[in-house]
Amino acid sequence: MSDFITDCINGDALLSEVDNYIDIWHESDTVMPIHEFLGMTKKEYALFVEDEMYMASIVTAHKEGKDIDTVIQSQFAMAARSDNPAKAARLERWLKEEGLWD
Amino acid sequence: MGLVVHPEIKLALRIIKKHSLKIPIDFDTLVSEYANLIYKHIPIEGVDGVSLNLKVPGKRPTIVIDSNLPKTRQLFTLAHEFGHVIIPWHLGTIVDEFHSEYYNYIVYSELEQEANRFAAELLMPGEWILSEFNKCNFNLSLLHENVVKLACVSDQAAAIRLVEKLPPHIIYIAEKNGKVIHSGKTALTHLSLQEEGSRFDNECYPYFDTYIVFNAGSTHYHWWKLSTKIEINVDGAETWREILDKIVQTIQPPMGNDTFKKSINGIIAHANGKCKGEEDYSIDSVVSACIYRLRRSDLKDLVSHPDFEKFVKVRVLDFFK
Repeated sequence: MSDFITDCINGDALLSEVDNYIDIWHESDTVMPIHEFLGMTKKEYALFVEDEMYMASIVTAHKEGKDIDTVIQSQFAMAARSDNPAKAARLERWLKEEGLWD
Repeated sequence: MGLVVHPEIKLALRIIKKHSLKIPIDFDTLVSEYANLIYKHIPIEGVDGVSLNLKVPGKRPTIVIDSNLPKTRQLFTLAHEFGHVIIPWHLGTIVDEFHSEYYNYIVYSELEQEANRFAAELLMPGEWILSEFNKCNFNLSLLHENVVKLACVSDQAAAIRLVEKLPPHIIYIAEKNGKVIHSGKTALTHLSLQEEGSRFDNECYPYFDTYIVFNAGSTHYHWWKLSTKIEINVDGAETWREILDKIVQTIQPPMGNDTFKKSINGIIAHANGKCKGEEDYSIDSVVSACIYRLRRSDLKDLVSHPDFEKFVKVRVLDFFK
C-alpha cells in the first residue's frame, strides 16, 4: 500500500489532504507509527508537527533522494529561480521596492 | 500498456474534483483560497508572473501577474503560477517568462514544464475537451471556437490542446498572410505537416473526410479530419517493382534511380512498421499512412505521377500477402 508521501510524489494526493491520511491512521487498528504510515522519518514528522508547511520540503526530499536538512537549507538560501538569473535579480529589486519581497 | 499520466496532471484533476470546478473556472476566487493574488504591471521585460514564498513556513504564497498582458495570457500565467503553488516540490520564489501565449513553448526547466502541464489541464481539462468534441460532429472549427470562448484561452493554446487530446487522423495548420505559422497533429497521425514559415498549400492533404477553417482574426486555422480509407482501384498484373520502375523512368529523380527507389521503399517500410503496432492495422491504414508520409514537397514529382496511388496500394498489398 502506498503512503502519503509516495502519493504526493505520484500526484495522487494534494498536500492539503494529509489530514485524511491521519484520520485513516486514527481509525485503523494498525500498530505502525504514524510517521511510518505517512511515509516519513521520525525527524521529518517532528518538523511537520512544528509547521505543516514543511510537508512540501519533506516530499521534495523524498522525491529528490536528499536529506531533509539539505532541502530546507537550500530552500532558505534560495534566490528567485528563473531561466534568466540577471532578470531574476532585477525582479527581486523591484519586488523589494514594492514591499512584496520579505 | 497504459499511458503514463504526469503527477502534475493528476494534481490538476484533483483540484478540479476537490472544488467541483466547471468551465469557465473562476480562477481569481480559486487561487485566492491558496495564495495572495496581485495584478500589477511588472516593469521587467518578458516577466509575465512570479510566485513568491512557495511553501515557506510561516508565510502565505503570493502570486503577481503582469496586468499589462492580454487577458488570455494573464489567465494562462495565473494557472501556471497556481501550478507552482500546488505542486509540492516547487519551492521558494519562481519567476516566469513566456514568449507568447503558446503554452507549450520550449522551456528548459522541468519545473516550468510541470507548471505548464498543470495549467493546460486545469484551463482545458482533457475530459471536457472530449465531451465538447463528441458534441461537435467533427465541426472542428466550431469546437476550436468553443474552446477559445468557454475556456478563455488564446486560439493557439486551444489548437495545441485540441491536438493533444483528440483522436488520431486530425491535423491543423495555422496560416497568416499565406504563410504557415504553426501546425499540429493528433497522436498516431502519420504524415508530414507543412513546415513553419513555408507557403501555405491548402491542397496538400487531398484525402479527408472533413475540412473546415476557423478564422481567429488574421490567423486562419485549417482543420482536417483525414480519411483512413483511401479508395484505390488496382487492376492488371503489374508488380509494385514494375510500377515504381515506370514512375522512376518518367520522373528521373536527381538523386539517381536506385537511391530514389531505396528511399521510397524505406519510407513505406517505416510507415508499415509504425502501423503494425496499432489496433487498426489493416491494408487501408497502411495505404493511407504511406500516402500521407510520401506527400512531401521534395517528392512532388512522384506524388503527382498518375500511377503513384496504384504503386502504393500494390506495394502495401505485398506486405499482407
